[in-house]
Amino acid sequence: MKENSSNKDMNTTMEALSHIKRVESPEGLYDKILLTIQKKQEEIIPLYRVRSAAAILLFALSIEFYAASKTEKRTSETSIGTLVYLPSNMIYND
Amino acid sequence: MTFQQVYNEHKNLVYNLALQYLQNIEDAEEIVQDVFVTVHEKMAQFKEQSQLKTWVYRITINKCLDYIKGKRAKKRWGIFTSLSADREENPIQVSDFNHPGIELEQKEALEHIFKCINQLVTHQKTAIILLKIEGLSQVETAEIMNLSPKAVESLFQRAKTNLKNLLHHNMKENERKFV
Repeated sequence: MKENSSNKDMNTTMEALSHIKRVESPEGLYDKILLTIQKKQEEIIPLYRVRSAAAILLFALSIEFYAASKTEKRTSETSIGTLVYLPSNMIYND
Repeated sequence: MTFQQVYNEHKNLVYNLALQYLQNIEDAEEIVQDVFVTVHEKMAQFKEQSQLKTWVYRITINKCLDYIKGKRAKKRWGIFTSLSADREENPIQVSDFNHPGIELEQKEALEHIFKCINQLVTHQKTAIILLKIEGLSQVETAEIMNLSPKAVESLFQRAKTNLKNLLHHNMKENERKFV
Protein backbone atom coordinates (compact mmCIF):
# COMPACT_ATOMS: atom_id res chain seq x y z
CA MET A 1 0.00 0.00 0.00
CA LYS A 2 2.90 2.30 0.89
CA GLU A 3 4.53 1.51 -2.45
CA ASN A 4 1.33 2.35 -4.32
CA SER A 5 1.11 5.75 -2.66
CA SER A 6 4.80 6.49 -3.33
CA ASN A 7 4.35 5.45 -6.96
CA LYS A 8 1.34 7.74 -7.15
CA ASP A 9 3.45 10.58 -5.70
CA MET A 10 6.13 9.89 -8.28
CA ASN A 11 3.59 10.02 -11.10
CA THR A 12 2.32 13.33 -9.74
CA THR A 13 5.91 14.60 -9.65
CA MET A 14 6.57 13.54 -13.23
CA GLU A 15 3.33 15.11 -14.36
CA ALA A 16 4.19 18.37 -12.63
CA LEU A 17 7.53 18.43 -14.46
CA SER A 18 5.94 17.78 -17.84
CA HIS A 19 3.57 20.72 -17.30
CA ILE A 20 6.36 23.29 -17.01
CA LYS A 21 5.68 25.88 -19.71
CA ARG A 22 8.08 26.82 -22.45
CA VAL A 23 8.87 30.54 -22.48
CA GLU A 24 10.23 32.94 -25.09
CA SER A 25 13.85 33.97 -24.72
CA PRO A 26 14.30 37.63 -23.74
CA GLU A 27 14.80 40.37 -26.34
CA GLY A 28 18.20 41.95 -26.73
CA LEU A 29 20.27 38.81 -26.21
CA TYR A 30 21.33 38.65 -29.86
CA ASP A 31 22.93 42.11 -29.67
CA LYS A 32 24.81 41.12 -26.49
CA ILE A 33 26.05 37.98 -28.25
CA LEU A 34 27.29 39.97 -31.25
CA LEU A 35 29.06 42.37 -28.89
CA THR A 36 30.81 39.49 -27.12
CA ILE A 37 31.87 37.97 -30.46
CA GLN A 38 33.22 41.35 -31.61
CA LYS A 39 35.21 41.81 -28.36
CA LYS A 40 36.72 38.34 -28.71
CA GLN A 41 37.78 39.06 -32.29
CA GLU A 42 39.44 42.33 -31.22
CA GLU A 43 41.44 40.49 -28.54
CA ILE A 44 42.99 38.16 -31.12
CA ILE A 45 46.40 39.52 -32.24
CA PRO A 46 46.64 39.63 -36.07
CA LEU A 47 49.05 37.11 -37.60
CA TYR A 48 51.12 39.70 -39.49
CA ARG A 49 51.94 41.43 -36.18
CA VAL A 50 53.11 38.16 -34.67
CA ARG A 51 55.30 37.49 -37.73
CA SER A 52 56.82 40.99 -37.62
CA ALA A 53 57.59 40.66 -33.90
CA ALA A 54 59.21 37.25 -34.50
CA ALA A 55 61.33 38.61 -37.36
CA ILE A 56 62.53 41.58 -35.25
CA LEU A 57 63.37 39.25 -32.36
CA LEU A 58 65.34 36.91 -34.63
CA PHE A 59 67.23 39.85 -36.11
CA ALA A 60 68.08 41.21 -32.65
CA LEU A 61 69.22 37.76 -31.49
CA SER A 62 71.43 37.23 -34.53
CA ILE A 63 73.11 40.64 -33.99
CA GLU A 64 73.63 39.67 -30.34
CA PHE A 65 75.24 36.35 -31.31
CA TYR A 66 77.45 38.04 -33.92
CA ALA A 67 78.64 40.67 -31.40
CA ALA A 68 79.19 38.00 -28.73
CA SER A 69 81.22 35.80 -31.10
CA LYS A 70 83.47 38.79 -32.00
CA THR A 71 84.31 39.57 -28.35
CA GLU A 72 84.88 35.86 -27.68
CA LYS A 73 87.58 35.74 -30.40
CA ARG A 74 89.47 38.66 -28.81
CA THR A 75 89.32 37.12 -25.32
CA SER A 76 90.39 33.72 -26.64
CA GLU A 77 93.55 35.28 -28.25
CA THR A 78 94.73 36.79 -24.93
CA SER A 79 93.99 33.60 -23.05
CA ILE A 80 96.47 31.64 -25.24
CA GLY A 81 99.23 33.34 -23.29
CA THR A 82 98.00 31.72 -20.10
CA LEU A 83 98.17 28.27 -21.70
CA VAL A 84 101.81 28.73 -22.80
CA TYR A 85 104.32 29.60 -20.06
CA LEU A 86 106.10 32.86 -20.78
CA PRO A 87 109.08 33.28 -18.41
CA SER A 88 109.36 36.57 -16.62
CA ASN A 89 112.78 38.14 -15.89
CA MET A 90 111.42 40.43 -13.23
CA ILE A 91 111.34 37.96 -10.36
CA TYR A 92 114.48 39.23 -8.64
CA ASN A 93 115.37 42.89 -8.52
CA ASP A 94 118.93 42.80 -9.72
CA MET B 1 22.40 28.69 -42.78
CA THR B 2 23.60 32.01 -41.37
CA PHE B 3 24.44 32.53 -37.71
CA GLN B 4 21.36 34.70 -37.24
CA GLN B 5 19.15 31.99 -38.68
CA VAL B 6 20.71 29.42 -36.35
CA TYR B 7 20.13 31.81 -33.43
CA ASN B 8 16.50 32.49 -34.30
CA GLU B 9 15.76 28.82 -34.77
CA HIS B 10 17.36 27.62 -31.53
CA LYS B 11 17.22 30.53 -29.06
CA ASN B 12 14.09 29.31 -27.26
CA LEU B 13 15.39 25.74 -27.12
CA VAL B 14 18.62 26.90 -25.48
CA TYR B 15 16.90 29.32 -23.10
CA ASN B 16 14.34 26.81 -21.89
CA LEU B 17 16.91 24.03 -21.49
CA ALA B 18 19.14 26.39 -19.49
CA LEU B 19 16.14 27.25 -17.27
CA GLN B 20 15.54 23.56 -16.56
CA TYR B 21 19.15 23.16 -15.42
CA LEU B 22 19.56 26.43 -13.53
CA GLN B 23 15.97 27.53 -12.64
CA ASN B 24 17.08 31.16 -12.76
CA ILE B 25 16.47 33.80 -15.47
CA GLU B 26 19.79 35.67 -15.18
CA ASP B 27 21.84 32.46 -15.21
CA ALA B 28 19.88 31.14 -18.20
CA GLU B 29 20.50 34.37 -20.14
CA GLU B 30 24.22 34.04 -19.49
CA ILE B 31 24.15 30.46 -20.76
CA VAL B 32 22.33 31.49 -23.94
CA GLN B 33 25.07 34.03 -24.68
CA ASP B 34 27.86 31.53 -23.96
CA VAL B 35 26.23 28.86 -26.11
CA PHE B 36 25.79 31.05 -29.16
CA VAL B 37 29.27 32.53 -28.91
CA THR B 38 30.56 28.93 -28.97
CA VAL B 39 28.23 28.07 -31.86
CA HIS B 40 29.62 31.05 -33.77
CA GLU B 41 33.22 29.99 -33.07
CA LYS B 42 32.69 26.35 -34.01
CA MET B 43 30.15 26.64 -36.81
CA ALA B 44 32.82 26.19 -39.45
CA GLN B 45 34.01 22.99 -37.75
CA PHE B 46 30.52 21.51 -37.51
CA LYS B 47 30.72 18.75 -40.07
CA GLU B 48 27.10 17.63 -39.81
CA GLN B 49 28.01 14.38 -38.12
CA SER B 50 24.81 14.91 -36.19
CA GLN B 51 21.83 17.21 -36.61
CA LEU B 52 22.38 20.88 -35.82
CA LYS B 53 19.70 20.71 -33.10
CA THR B 54 21.50 17.78 -31.40
CA TRP B 55 24.77 19.69 -31.52
CA VAL B 56 23.19 22.79 -29.98
CA TYR B 57 21.58 20.64 -27.27
CA ARG B 58 24.99 19.13 -26.41
CA ILE B 59 26.72 22.52 -26.20
CA THR B 60 23.92 23.87 -23.98
CA ILE B 61 24.03 20.88 -21.62
CA ASN B 62 27.83 21.11 -21.30
CA LYS B 63 27.70 24.85 -20.65
CA CYS B 64 25.00 24.39 -17.98
CA LEU B 65 26.93 21.62 -16.24
CA ASP B 66 30.17 23.67 -16.30
CA TYR B 67 28.27 26.65 -14.89
CA ILE B 68 26.84 24.54 -12.05
CA LYS B 69 30.31 23.15 -11.27
CA GLY B 70 31.71 26.67 -11.16
CA LYS B 71 28.93 27.84 -8.84
CA ARG B 72 29.51 24.90 -6.47
CA ALA B 73 33.24 25.65 -6.35
CA LYS B 74 32.50 29.30 -5.53
CA LYS B 75 30.14 28.19 -2.74
CA ARG B 76 32.79 25.90 -1.26
CA TRP B 77 35.31 28.73 -1.28
CA GLY B 78 32.70 31.08 0.16
CA ILE B 79 32.36 28.86 3.22
CA PHE B 80 36.05 29.40 4.04
CA THR B 81 35.89 33.17 3.57
CA SER B 82 32.69 33.41 5.62
CA LEU B 83 34.32 31.68 8.62
CA SER B 84 36.65 34.61 9.09
CA ALA B 85 34.11 37.31 8.19
CA ASP B 86 31.81 39.10 10.58
CA ARG B 87 28.28 37.66 10.88
CA GLU B 88 26.68 40.88 9.66
CA GLU B 89 28.53 40.56 6.36
CA ASN B 90 26.78 37.27 5.68
CA PRO B 91 23.03 37.89 5.44
CA ILE B 92 20.54 35.07 4.90
CA GLN B 93 20.75 33.83 1.31
CA VAL B 94 17.58 34.39 -0.70
CA SER B 95 16.54 31.50 -2.94
CA ASP B 96 17.74 31.75 -6.56
CA PHE B 97 14.67 29.88 -7.78
CA ASN B 98 13.14 32.03 -10.50
CA HIS B 99 11.71 29.89 -13.32
CA PRO B 100 9.28 31.86 -15.52
CA GLY B 101 7.73 28.67 -16.93
CA ILE B 102 6.30 27.68 -13.53
CA GLU B 103 2.95 28.99 -12.31
CA LEU B 104 2.80 30.64 -8.90
CA GLU B 105 0.59 27.93 -7.39
CA GLN B 106 3.09 25.26 -8.43
CA LYS B 107 6.20 27.22 -7.44
CA GLU B 108 6.73 25.81 -3.95
CA ALA B 109 6.17 22.19 -4.99
CA LEU B 110 8.39 22.44 -8.05
CA GLU B 111 11.11 24.28 -6.14
CA HIS B 112 11.22 21.29 -3.80
CA ILE B 113 11.28 18.84 -6.75
CA PHE B 114 14.07 20.73 -8.50
CA LYS B 115 16.04 20.86 -5.25
CA CYS B 116 16.02 17.05 -5.32
CA ILE B 117 16.72 16.84 -9.08
CA ASN B 118 19.76 19.04 -8.54
CA GLN B 119 21.12 16.43 -6.13
CA LEU B 120 21.06 13.68 -8.76
CA VAL B 121 24.22 12.74 -10.64
CA THR B 122 24.74 14.56 -13.94
CA HIS B 123 23.56 11.85 -16.36
CA GLN B 124 20.44 11.06 -14.34
CA LYS B 125 19.55 14.73 -14.05
CA THR B 126 20.01 15.15 -17.83
CA ALA B 127 17.84 12.10 -18.54
CA ILE B 128 14.98 13.48 -16.42
CA ILE B 129 15.24 16.96 -17.94
CA LEU B 130 15.34 15.78 -21.54
CA LEU B 131 12.70 13.04 -21.25
CA LYS B 132 10.21 14.54 -18.82
CA ILE B 133 10.58 18.32 -19.04
CA GLU B 134 11.77 18.83 -22.62
CA GLY B 135 9.52 15.99 -23.76
CA LEU B 136 12.07 14.37 -26.05
CA SER B 137 11.79 10.76 -27.11
CA GLN B 138 14.18 8.07 -25.92
CA VAL B 139 15.81 7.98 -29.36
CA GLU B 140 16.37 11.76 -29.42
CA THR B 141 17.69 11.72 -25.85
CA ALA B 142 20.01 8.82 -26.70
CA GLU B 143 21.44 10.74 -29.65
CA ILE B 144 22.10 13.82 -27.53
CA MET B 145 23.67 11.84 -24.68
CA ASN B 146 25.58 9.54 -27.04
CA LEU B 147 23.98 6.44 -25.50
CA SER B 148 21.77 3.64 -26.76
CA PRO B 149 17.99 4.02 -26.22
CA LYS B 150 18.11 1.06 -23.81
CA ALA B 151 20.83 2.74 -21.77
CA VAL B 152 18.71 5.89 -21.61
CA GLU B 153 15.71 3.86 -20.43
CA SER B 154 17.74 2.23 -17.66
CA LEU B 155 19.30 5.57 -16.71
CA PHE B 156 15.85 7.14 -16.46
CA GLN B 157 14.55 4.33 -14.23
CA ARG B 158 17.53 4.75 -11.88
CA ALA B 159 16.98 8.51 -11.88
CA LYS B 160 13.32 8.06 -10.97
CA THR B 161 14.19 5.71 -8.09
CA ASN B 162 16.83 8.08 -6.74
CA LEU B 163 14.52 11.06 -7.12
CA LYS B 164 11.76 9.21 -5.24
CA ASN B 165 14.18 8.48 -2.37
CA LEU B 166 15.40 12.08 -2.27
CA LEU B 167 11.86 13.46 -2.23
CA HIS B 168 10.91 11.08 0.55
CA HIS B 169 14.05 11.91 2.55
CA ASN B 170 13.55 15.67 2.16
CA MET B 171 9.91 15.36 3.16
CA LYS B 172 10.93 13.57 6.39
CA GLU B 173 13.54 16.29 7.06
CA ASN B 174 10.91 19.01 6.67
CA GLU B 175 8.48 17.17 8.95
CA ARG B 176 11.20 16.90 11.60
CA LYS B 177 11.84 20.66 11.41
CA PHE B 178 8.19 21.49 12.07
CA VAL B 179 7.79 19.02 14.95
